[in-house]
Amino acid sequence: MNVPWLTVVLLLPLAAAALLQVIPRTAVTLLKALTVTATAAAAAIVWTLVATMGGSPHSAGPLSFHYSEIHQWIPVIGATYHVGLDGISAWILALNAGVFVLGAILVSRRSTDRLKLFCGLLLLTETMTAGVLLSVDLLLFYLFWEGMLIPLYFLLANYGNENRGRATVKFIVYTVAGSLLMLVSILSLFFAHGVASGNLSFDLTQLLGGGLSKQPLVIPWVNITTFTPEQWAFLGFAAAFAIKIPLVPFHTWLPDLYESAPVAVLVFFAGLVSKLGAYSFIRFALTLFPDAVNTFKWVLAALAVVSIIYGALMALSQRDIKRIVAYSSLSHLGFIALGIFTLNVNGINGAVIQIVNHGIIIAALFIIVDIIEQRTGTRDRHELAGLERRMPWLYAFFLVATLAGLGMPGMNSFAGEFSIMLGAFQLHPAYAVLAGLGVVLACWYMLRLHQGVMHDPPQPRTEAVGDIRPAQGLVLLPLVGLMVFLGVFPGPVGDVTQLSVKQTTALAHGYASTAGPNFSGLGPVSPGGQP
Amino acid sequence: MTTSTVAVLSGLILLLPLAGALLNALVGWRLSRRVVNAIGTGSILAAFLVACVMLAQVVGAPDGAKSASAHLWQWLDLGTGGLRVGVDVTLDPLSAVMLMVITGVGLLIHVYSVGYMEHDRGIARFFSYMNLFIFSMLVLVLAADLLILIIGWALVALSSYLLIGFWYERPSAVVAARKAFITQVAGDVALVIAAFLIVVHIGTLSMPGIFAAAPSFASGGLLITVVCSLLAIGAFAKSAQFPLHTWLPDAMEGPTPVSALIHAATMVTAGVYLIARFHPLFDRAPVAQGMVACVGIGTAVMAGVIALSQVDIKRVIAYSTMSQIGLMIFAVGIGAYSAGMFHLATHAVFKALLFMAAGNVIHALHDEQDIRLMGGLSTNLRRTELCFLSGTFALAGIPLFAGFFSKEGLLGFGLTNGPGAFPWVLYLVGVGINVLTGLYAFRLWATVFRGEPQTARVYAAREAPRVMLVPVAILALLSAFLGLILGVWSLVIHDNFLIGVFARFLSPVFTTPASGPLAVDLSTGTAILAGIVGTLGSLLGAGLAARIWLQRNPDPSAVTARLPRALPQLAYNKFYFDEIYDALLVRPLVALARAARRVVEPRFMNSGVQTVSDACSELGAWVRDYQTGLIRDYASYMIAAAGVFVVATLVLVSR
Amino acid sequence: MTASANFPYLLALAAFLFSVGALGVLIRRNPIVVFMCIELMLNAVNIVFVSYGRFLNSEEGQVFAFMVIVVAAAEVVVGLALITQVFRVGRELDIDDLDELNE
Repeated sequence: MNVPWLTVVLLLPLAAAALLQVIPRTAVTLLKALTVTATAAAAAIVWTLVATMGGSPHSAGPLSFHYSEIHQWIPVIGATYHVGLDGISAWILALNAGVFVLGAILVSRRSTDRLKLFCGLLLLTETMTAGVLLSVDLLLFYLFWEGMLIPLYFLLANYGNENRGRATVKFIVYTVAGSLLMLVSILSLFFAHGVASGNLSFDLTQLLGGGLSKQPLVIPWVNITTFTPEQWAFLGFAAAFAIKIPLVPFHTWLPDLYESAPVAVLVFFAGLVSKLGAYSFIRFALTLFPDAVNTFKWVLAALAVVSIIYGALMALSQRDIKRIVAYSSLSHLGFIALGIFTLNVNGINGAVIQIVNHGIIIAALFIIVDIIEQRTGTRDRHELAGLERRMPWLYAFFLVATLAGLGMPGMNSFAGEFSIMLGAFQLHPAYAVLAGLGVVLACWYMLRLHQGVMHDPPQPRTEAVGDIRPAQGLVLLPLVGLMVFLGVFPGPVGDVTQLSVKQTTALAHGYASTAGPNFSGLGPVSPGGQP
Repeated sequence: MTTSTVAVLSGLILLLPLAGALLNALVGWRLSRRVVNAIGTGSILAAFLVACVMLAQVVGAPDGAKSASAHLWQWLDLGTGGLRVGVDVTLDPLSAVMLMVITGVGLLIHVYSVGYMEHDRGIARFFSYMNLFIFSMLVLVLAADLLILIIGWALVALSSYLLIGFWYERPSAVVAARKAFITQVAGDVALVIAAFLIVVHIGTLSMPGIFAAAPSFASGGLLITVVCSLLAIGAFAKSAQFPLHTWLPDAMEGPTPVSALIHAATMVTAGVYLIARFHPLFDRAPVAQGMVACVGIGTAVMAGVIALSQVDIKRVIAYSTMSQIGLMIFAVGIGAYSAGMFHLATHAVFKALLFMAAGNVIHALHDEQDIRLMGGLSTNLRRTELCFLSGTFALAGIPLFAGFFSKEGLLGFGLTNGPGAFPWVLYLVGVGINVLTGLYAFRLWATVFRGEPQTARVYAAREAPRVMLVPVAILALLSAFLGLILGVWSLVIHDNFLIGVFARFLSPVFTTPASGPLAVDLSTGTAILAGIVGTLGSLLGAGLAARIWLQRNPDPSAVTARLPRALPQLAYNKFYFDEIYDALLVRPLVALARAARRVVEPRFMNSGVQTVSDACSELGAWVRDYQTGLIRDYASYMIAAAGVFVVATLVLVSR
Repeated sequence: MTASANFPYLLALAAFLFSVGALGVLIRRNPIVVFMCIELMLNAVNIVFVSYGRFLNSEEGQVFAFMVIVVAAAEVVVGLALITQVFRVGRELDIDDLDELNE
């Protein structure tokens, strides 16, 4: 039987959201059960898909997919409903499914005002983010990319602490501004391709190779030579993605928003939504604008390194433990971005692996910070101490999450960060060395956070708190388990991603006139150290 | 020795401590103390037995087949042009020696801990961390892939962090733990970057692959020098060598068995192991080797001087550890790998012994660590003193004790093989270190056990229970006779080398075209001369110490007090390294972070966005004036606009 | 023949009607009269549509004229309902008094 599984993945949360509307708002248990069931069902499908995909992509072409569906959508302008799953999107989609299950479970563990609205928006967000990950058609992608903001706006504006209004508006306006630039780029790409090839299409696989002029644009009258149209279009995409990731200096929406958002939103917002910028960079910017990417990679990689170090420094100077985690996220997203801009196999694979790993880690960290805040009533580092004696289980979970967060070898993030830094080293050793400085700083602020909260003699606020409940432990356990498991066996992730990354890397270099001064692939590799 | 044997045995020896760690961590809090102790020590006992089997395998293997690797699973494979790492293990003479040291000394320390930690509530946590440490250390020495080695390398730092901060309600312990971890992470980063250089140059991280491809590095070239220097920096961080040494004394905040296991016997010597393991690379980088040798000997001198000035019993031993590891680093820096490894093994024995005996003293005096408040303990702690004395003799290199064989072995080698144009310079410094070692070793013994009791508590001191004495006694016997046995054995089988048996055992690992002689050849006169001079140095130090401190009321600062005032001040304050690093690294970084929060973020990062948003508000305020609410106004705007449009069209059309 | 001959006059008529309507919208204060003026403008537009349709020999002009008539009718319905409502809450019918649109 030929089930269009990708469409099922897309529609399932949407259908559940619709179904929610017929349930009376007083049937709280039913609402929660339906939300959790729907997200879990979607997760089950996605995880099965990912677990069974293996091997090479099924379709042919320079950019091929393991699963894909294509239908007419708006024939007049050549827009198609083209969705596809390949090695790059697979594990991120799996993460997507996972974090929404987590969000659903978290919201069902507590009493929330306007629960029905929350659940509906959560499910809607899942459809949109899954759409971003699956879209191959640029118009479809743009639809999901912008559509994602609608449920997110209502989630962020309606739930969370008192500062949420300003933070949400900042985020939305910032993101929309970037997205509009991207829309201009999409349209210019669309028309250029239409003129060059004579057929209209928004399909990524059709648009490869562009059609945009590579002649620099000259501002009339003043005769200043600027970038080429291709580069301008790339910058449009880059703006949208850099804001979403975010890269310094486009990051100012992040700390305020993370501080004010409720944890049930944060697990999927910090865990996934912010990674969509990184994913889209790999999927669209690298493949569509190889020349421009090769021109700008030095600057972008430098921005990524600045993000790493700047985020770490900011994390080092915060008192609010939630803001520390927020800035640590900025620093780690810098690593992911750095991996992408290396444009080599190691860096991009590392970035994909790290997207998955960091999603797991940041979700766990925010849950832990939330538990601490609930128990002690404060997020001030100076008022927290000595929780280890009171909360030994939380201590254990927090320890693993901290270690994973600081890139401890043997934990999941090491596999990603090592690959990323290796890729950065191949780009230019200085990037790897500076990123290494970021690792040392990460170690400092994460340990100070962990030790400050857990060790030293207890403070007034931490005198009489109890340990986490078994249910909370059950939420954290899979996350922590995955951190260790993926640290010991990162192979499965790499096996799936590497085939598709190879395609993308080839595309990012295929049209490039030069491969970049310092790029060198790894030499012949002896198999696995077998004697 | 087949691949599958290696795989099974390595799997077993790794899983046993890991299982112990997990069991105690997860269910230890529900189990009785007796069961927790049994799990904690039992897992290491089992691991020790497996290690013995592995040693037997290596010994029993025919010449030329002493090394075997096994592939456990594929860690990561990123395809062509990408990283490819397998979880591989190697069993060879070098790893076998390390296995014996780790599990053997580890087992004794675990048994000792049962007594030492008897009254501590967190015993399950303690054993869980200790087992985790043994596991990590085993990963480190068994790894056959540089990346897996790095994982083990970092895991030992983690267990060390956990154990230094074991008493987590002590702020000083918490800070010390963090300091140790961060310093070692800095070393890890150096190691990781060395790994990058290697993998980019030769395309693999597999250690057999690296060693096979070592000749592809230009000998003495810049690349290999940088690689080896980075590896050495990693080793320095782990082995507490200058300039990354400041964490080790602070690490004494941990329980004494931890100091014995991690900060004396095993983990801190991992740097020596690393350099010895990567000798095919170091042999091609004479500049890096010279740097290593100089840093080693320099640290040895510096730590020896500081040891002489300290008054905390554990810190004295910690600095002596630093000093002895400096000697080992010196040894591997001049290519005396077997000698360095032998000193590593004997040092593990006698230093663990000293720490545990010191632990007995501390235990008997209810956590008193200041040697100025001890003295005269020999009456009440007779057996402990005997053991301590055995360790002191070995440390000072008194002939026929274990330390004598290993230390004279490596110094003798240094006379002829030191770096640079004057190889004997470093040897002479080494003789000076022998004097220093004798001084501080016997100073410690004399001030703690001899003389008159300095406080009333000494009279109430009680000898440690049997569970704490037996492991110490075993180590005391080893430190008295290990060298002797091996030395006599070497003579019996007509090796002309001082520690010929040991060197011969390790020779499959260290015999490469590039490396020189393996140990001190007793058949040459210079080596004998070197040994004699070195021994005289040790005896001189010991004798001086006896003269100065064997009296009724010994003054611990007797020697340093006679020096110019600045010197003891410097030594007592550990040459102000902590303060210097604080001023040069910590404070600027903290200030930078604060500046980022107070200035950069609001003024620069936010201002761009804020400007745009303010401009929008301004524009809105300006437009608002034209929104009167009167339909008539709106209509006139429309009509005016239409008029403009018409006029514009007309103008454009007429052009 | 006649159609193209009359064409300029028809456009002039439309322009005149439109101007009258626009002037009325701008200077009259009674909303009903304003409405009538708007109708006048719309009808002026209709004349333009129809005459161009004739001139260019296509039906599209007439089609749009009908479209405009329908929209105008709908607009009148809404507008008159609003005016009635304003009258019913007891306000004077003076558009200069009705300035709540900016709130």
